[in-house]
Amino acid sequence: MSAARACWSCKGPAGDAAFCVVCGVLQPPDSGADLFAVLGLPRGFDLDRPVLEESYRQAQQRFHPDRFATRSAGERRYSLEWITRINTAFQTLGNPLTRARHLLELLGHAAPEHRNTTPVDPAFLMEVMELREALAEVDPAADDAPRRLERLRREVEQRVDLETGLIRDSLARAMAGEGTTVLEEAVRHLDRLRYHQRFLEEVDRLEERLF
Amino acid sequence: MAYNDKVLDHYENPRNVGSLDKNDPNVGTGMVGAPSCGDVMKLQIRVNEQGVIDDAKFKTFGCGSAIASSSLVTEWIKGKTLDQALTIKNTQVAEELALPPVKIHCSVLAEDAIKSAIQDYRSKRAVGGS
Repeated sequence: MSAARACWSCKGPAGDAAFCVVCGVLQPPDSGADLFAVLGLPRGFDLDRPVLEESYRQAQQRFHPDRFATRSAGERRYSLEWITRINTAFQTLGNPLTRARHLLELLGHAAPEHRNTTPVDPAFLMEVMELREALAEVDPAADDAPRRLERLRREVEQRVDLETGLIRDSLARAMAGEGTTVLEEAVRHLDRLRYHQRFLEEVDRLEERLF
Repeated sequence: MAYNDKVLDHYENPRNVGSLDKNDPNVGTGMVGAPSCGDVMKLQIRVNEQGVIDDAKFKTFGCGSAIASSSLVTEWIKGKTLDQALTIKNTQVAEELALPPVKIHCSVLAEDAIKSAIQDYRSKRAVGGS
């Protein structure tokens, strides 16, 4: 983000703000920008849902295309671009997994999404396998199916909480300037979280068929 | 995305699904996973006295392509020596199953599973001293 950016409309110094400080015209969103900044939130892993929703609502209001209906074509286009960025930010920051990934990117670590195979931690994978086997053994037609699904869900939710806590710690340490090993740690816990989330999605699918 | 016939065939009639006794000294167990999609794959081999893989089993929780890739490689490695099995490349699996680019990582997973199982078997033998 460059502070010396010139306003596309009046050519004056637009600064970092969404609206030119000189002429007040809407500026295009910075495509590389930090999604926390898009919603006016401080960077960090901890983010309460109501706070996120409130900033999302305010940002949507501020940039809503209706507000620019009578403005120039440029501003109308930029308001749409802003709305797209705002929606992306809301989606990305709303899920702890994608929020952590985005933070890692901002901290200069390659997004783990595109790495496909793990440097193996067989013991962990074995646990995942055992959980998946237990899930596969649940007979949806049996009376005890809902109870067994709930028990598995609770067990995995506890693991989600554990990994989320570890991600929070390592990201906080990374943001405090502790080097790349802390980021590697965060990535490892993020990978684990992905397996657990995938498991919970499966439980959701099974329960949908049940009820 | 429509699945290719060979993928569907392996998905609907997977070969060699199951488990071998992982404590058997002649059995190697490979565990691999893909964090991007949460897929997890277990591939086990049993090796006879001639050093030939005489049985292979797999268990995969994941998409159709991951299941098909692991099913296919269990067929391929049976009757092969460990060194022969190690020459199997993910590109061969991807080609055989005509996997689209977004599913290539499933074939990588299957190749890694073979390597992981052989490594486990070899480290067991090294420790066992036989």
